[in-house]
Amino acid sequence: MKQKRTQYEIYWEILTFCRKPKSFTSVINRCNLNSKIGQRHIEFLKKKGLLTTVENQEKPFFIATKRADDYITLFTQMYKELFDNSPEFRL
Amino acid sequence: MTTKTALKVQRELISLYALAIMNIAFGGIAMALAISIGVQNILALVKAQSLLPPQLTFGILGFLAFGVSLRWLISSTEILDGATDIKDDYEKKKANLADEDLTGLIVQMMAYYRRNKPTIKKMMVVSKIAGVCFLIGGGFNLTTVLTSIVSGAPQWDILLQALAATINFVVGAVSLFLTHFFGKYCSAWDYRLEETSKAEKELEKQLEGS
Repeated sequence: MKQKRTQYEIYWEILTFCRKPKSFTSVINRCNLNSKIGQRHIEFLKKKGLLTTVENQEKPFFIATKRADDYITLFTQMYKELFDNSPEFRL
Repeated sequence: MTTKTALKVQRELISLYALAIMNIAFGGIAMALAISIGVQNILALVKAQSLLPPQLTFGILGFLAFGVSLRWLISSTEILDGATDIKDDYEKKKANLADEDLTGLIVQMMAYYRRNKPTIKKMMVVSKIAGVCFLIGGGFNLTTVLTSIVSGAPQWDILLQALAATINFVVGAVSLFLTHFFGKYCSAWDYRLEETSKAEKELEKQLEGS
């Protein structure tokens, strides 16, 4: 399915996926991103200190930092709240 | 909280899926009926070898409804496609639905609505037009039934015309019913999208603080 997500939703997806070390390819595949956009988001998250690089057998892997937990928690809580507190669509 | 949210996600997904299925089914029925109305009236014109205004009007109306129904059907398949993806994802995760899975599904539903919003809005207009066309067709059939009764036409002829009127009214009413429910779906998600913009400000602040 083609996605239409906001940058905050994409950050959340990358950070939750990178709770364990992940390669660049697996991140862009899982989060449905092209390499250019994926690179840009990863760089942003690294700059903000939410994502870091670890080396494993000389290959770079990305992992979410402790700081990312705050973002993930805030995002999860807000999205659940806005969904819970909105009128329900039912047939 | 998770259980409450999970149940709401489940109910909304089932409703959306059912609406998409009904929409595709009635889009198909509407298209078939429109072709039959169009062809039947054009054949009557050919047989009569002259321009009969009611047949001409309903021949044109039938082909117009065919075009509208075809557009309706195409939009319906696009909508069903996305709804099926999210439903399948939910089915895979539902046995062990964690907080993050639930948020992931909400994000997917949000992205789905953002992507399909123009199609749904267009389809609501198309569905409304098709509904009105079928109601007009039903009205015409009903007039024919009354005329036939007055002129003492054969009973089976009257019955067939009454059946055609009923079908037209049912398809017309269902088209308007579907438009109404898509409207309800849109208003629920428009509200959520609006709330997301507020949430984004909070998330922005959080990122700036990082």
